[in-house]
Amino acid sequence: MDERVKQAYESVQISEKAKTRIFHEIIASDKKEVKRRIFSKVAIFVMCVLACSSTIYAAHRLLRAGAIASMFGEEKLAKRFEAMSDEIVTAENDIYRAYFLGAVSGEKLCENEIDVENTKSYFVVALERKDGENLTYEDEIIVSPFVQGIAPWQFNIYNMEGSATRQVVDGVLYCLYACSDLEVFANTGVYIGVTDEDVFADAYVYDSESGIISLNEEYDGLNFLFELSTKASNEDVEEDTLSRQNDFMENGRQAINNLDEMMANSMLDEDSVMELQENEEGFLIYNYDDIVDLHISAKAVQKHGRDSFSFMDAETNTKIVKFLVVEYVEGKYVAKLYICE
Amino acid sequence: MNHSLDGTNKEEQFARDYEVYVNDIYRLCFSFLKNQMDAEDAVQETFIKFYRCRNIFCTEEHKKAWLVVAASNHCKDVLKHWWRKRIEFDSGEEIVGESKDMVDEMLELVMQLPDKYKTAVYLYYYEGYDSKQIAKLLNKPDSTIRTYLQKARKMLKKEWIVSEGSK
Repeated sequence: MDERVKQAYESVQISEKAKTRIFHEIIASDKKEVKRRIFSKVAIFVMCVLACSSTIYAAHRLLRAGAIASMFGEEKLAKRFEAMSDEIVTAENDIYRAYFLGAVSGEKLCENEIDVENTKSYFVVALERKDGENLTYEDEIIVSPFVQGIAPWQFNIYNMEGSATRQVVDGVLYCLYACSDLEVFANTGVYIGVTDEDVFADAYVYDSESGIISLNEEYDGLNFLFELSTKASNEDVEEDTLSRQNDFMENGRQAINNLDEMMANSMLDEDSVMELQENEEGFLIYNYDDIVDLHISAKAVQKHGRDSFSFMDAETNTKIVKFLVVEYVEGKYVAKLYICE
Repeated sequence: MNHSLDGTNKEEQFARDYEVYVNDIYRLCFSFLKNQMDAEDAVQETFIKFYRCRNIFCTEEHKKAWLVVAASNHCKDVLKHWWRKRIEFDSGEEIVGESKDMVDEMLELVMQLPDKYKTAVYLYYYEGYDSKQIAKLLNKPDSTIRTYLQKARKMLKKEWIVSEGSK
């Protein structure tokens, strides 16, 4: 079978015509300068960035959020971004400087978007190295919204219908993200995290009493946090939006605070129970059924004795359908999946 | 290929690299994106990044690995892109090569694999890397890569038997 798979790959070839065309386009594209746009200042804010140990910074050499949307061919989204102030909020550590370039919410802002029914939020973040070295496409970062009151590792870009696209221009990495509507959390508090850690358990600290999320200052990697002041575009947030938020928050709190009760009221999937080994990078990796390659911070499990991960229903994303509990008992990590009844 | 080069070393070097790797990168992109147009776009984006990047590649392997990872990342981003128009794979049109009847079915099976397995499958079956090399290249644990390959092999084998049995 191995040989057949190899033959399958070998059967695919790029045509000579396309090969030549692409080559010429690459050479030609290198000679074009990226156009920088000048933006009008219009004082309309859907969201504005507050602060969070960051400074407002006039970064003239940066492309603005509108230019990034435009670069991906989304003119309507670009116009919405352009209608915002072009003030940029920065945060930096010894190596990197991160820029929050803007966020907007709305319906049908992307002309070719597949999911046109729901309001979505879009935000743009840029990252550069302070030593002037260029970032490349190889530099992996994850950008995620977090909601005050729910731990970052339990509610993040992965369960907010997140999607992303990115581009490196002049050594600066620009990321355009879309996710479910952040205005839903207008009265709650929203953050945008930028990190190289995709489970968000080590890079951020969550205070379960106050619900406040902050940076883990001891994290040995890339972590930034921007705090957003969300302001719903309509003064009265619609009832269904509030209801959705309440449902979600209720479920979230339930998952965090009443884990024992939830475990008692749910069905343990016997086949899912397995002992996990910590890998060299400090992760426990869980694979079962449709849960593939879930990275769990061993440190977080050890610290609290256990950790849990909720899985929402795909349709409304508000109801927990199953949850994974990872316990640290007598030096062993044991994972168990519960199905909600 | 008739390159209209302006004589600079950078372009000449790029032309050589492009000639050597373009087909391999196209194959990888095609396995992700399943159609000629998107695969060509992905090839173009990958080589633009390669052309503009200032990395110094110590070996040809390093260079190739960079291209494979960059192409995979690009394809994954394209697939995640919310406004991507999904185009169904049309099995007859895009594949160029001999003995199509034998390999096309297998290619379809490869393309049906979950996206997260595809880079590892490509590197293992086509490039001949072992799981440790792939793990290093993709910055993932060796155990994860072995799991990917085992699952992919199981899926391919199962579907291949079904496909052969139905003939």
